[in-house]
Amino acid sequence: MTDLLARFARDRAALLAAGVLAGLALAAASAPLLWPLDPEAVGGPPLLRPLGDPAHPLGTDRLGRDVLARLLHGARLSLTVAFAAAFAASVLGSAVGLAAGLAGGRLDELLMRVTDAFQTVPGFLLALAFVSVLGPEARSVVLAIAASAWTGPARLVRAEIASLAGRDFVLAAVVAGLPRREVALRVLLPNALPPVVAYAATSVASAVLIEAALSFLGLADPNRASWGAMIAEGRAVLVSEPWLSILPGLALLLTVLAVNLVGEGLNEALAPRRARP
Amino acid sequence: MSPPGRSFVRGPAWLLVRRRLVQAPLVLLFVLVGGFLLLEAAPGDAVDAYVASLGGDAGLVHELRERWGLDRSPATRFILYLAGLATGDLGRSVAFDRPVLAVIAERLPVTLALAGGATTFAFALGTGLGILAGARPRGPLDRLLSAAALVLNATPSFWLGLLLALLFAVHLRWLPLAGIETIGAGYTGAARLFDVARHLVLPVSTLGLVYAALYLRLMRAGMVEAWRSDFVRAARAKGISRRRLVLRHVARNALLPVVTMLGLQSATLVGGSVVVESVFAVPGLGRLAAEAVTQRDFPLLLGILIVSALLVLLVNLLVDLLYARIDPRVELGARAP
Repeated sequence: MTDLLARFARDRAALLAAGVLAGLALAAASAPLLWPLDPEAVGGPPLLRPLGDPAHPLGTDRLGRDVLARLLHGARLSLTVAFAAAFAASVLGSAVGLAAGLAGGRLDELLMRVTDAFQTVPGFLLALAFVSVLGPEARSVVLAIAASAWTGPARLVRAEIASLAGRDFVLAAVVAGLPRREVALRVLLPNALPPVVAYAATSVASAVLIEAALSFLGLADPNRASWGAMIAEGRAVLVSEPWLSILPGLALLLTVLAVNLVGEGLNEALAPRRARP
Repeated sequence: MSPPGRSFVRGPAWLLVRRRLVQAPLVLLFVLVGGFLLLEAAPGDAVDAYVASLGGDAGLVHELRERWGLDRSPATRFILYLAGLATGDLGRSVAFDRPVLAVIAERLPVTLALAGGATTFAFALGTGLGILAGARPRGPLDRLLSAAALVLNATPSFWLGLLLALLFAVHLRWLPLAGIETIGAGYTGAARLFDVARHLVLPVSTLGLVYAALYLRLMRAGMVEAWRSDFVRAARAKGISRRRLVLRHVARNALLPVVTMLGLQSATLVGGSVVVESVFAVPGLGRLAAEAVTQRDFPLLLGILIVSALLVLLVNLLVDLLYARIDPRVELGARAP
């Protein structure tokens, strides 16, 4: 573990990105303390420009709501939904991959065709269908994103299990008389997980973008500030007040960039483990 | 070198294609069952949506349920749906009050043009710049291009679209802001084609740029890998020109993962067109999907899911065929283990 952290820390870009992400998460978590303005309340004159009024450092939107407060609360929603979706997808995908890899034969074939089916339907369309069925709450958005994101970890874990199955330490565990369940959960699964961890970063990044796109299309909860919805609202005054759309877009860009860099750093740091013979 | 046709029939690529053909119907059946079950779980049916938007009393509700067959059990309806599918009948759209297939057929060409254009643009730009970056890894040009790709890769496509529209349509006035053609201009023939093409420039660039960043990164990564390999060292030792070395040996081998990704991305491309079509008011399949969701038009939504799944299966098959053409190992007629 310390080894892993040391390798990760050697990648300066990844380290910086991790710092940015941590700062963002901290700001999002402490938004009510950090900047106590209500993101939904009409608190000032409409369309104040950024850096004009110290009471609203990033200005106000068309309804006079504070942009900084909305950005911070948007970060809460974006990060919570993205991490929850990536976590759900990783757990579900790992379970399916483990089952398919261990069972082999018909069950493996069946599970892989189901995985194919999920990968054949465009993920964003699937998310649209899920949201239209389950409703616009954050919980449904998490499920909608996870519904297409689990296929990646499923394939990864299945492939890892297949490559681990013949290794000496696995055979040793079997010969030592460990029950099948123990071999699966204590020996195979932990060794199959590192690529899933690196992949989870990719899932978080795409989940941030899918959540933003859903709320941009007006399909997410209209009563909660989200970056996608802020961009959509800013569209009406895009020509005269472009910052209303530009600021939340920059927040999205920064978040996804940071997540991607952390993911790359993790991938690099975990790679030697995977290359081990 | 053997003619590609021969090895193609016997080689592993053909086995892969055959496997895909065998699996495709099963995958499609799962998509059908899954889509049907998911939309079945929705609160309210097509009749509720119809009455909610157009009004009607209990009598009409009863009559419509009977006419649309919604009074039968889900299992019966699924079998009827499958039977209809066999004859090309995807049911009736509630919002449009027309056959689903007719509505989709009207919108599909626009999305195919958009997605095809975006893929071509992304592939050309991505591999081209990727070769420039990968020709001298860690050189100044590589650093610049890689950083740009990293940022572009993290950019939400709908936001990029808005910025491009603001710059090129609003401020510079070079391109139309939205739609697929100038309404009321009455263009015909080549003039109309040109008008449509002008309208597609911004959506195609928006969708394409994000993928170009992906292909650039893949191409570059593949080339960095190839530089370290023995065959490049051998080619270098033979003293061939640098240009030839980069293009023939290093870039060619880096192209394979890009082609694989081309197939894998076909599904996300259809998803991406939903957002981009909404930004530029392009009347394609993607915007139709967003409309179907807001209007709770489930027959239409299911039809779109099925048609796009079919498209993705088809593209993946084409990519496998393309792969067989360019993979040097396949040309040798090597068999899969």
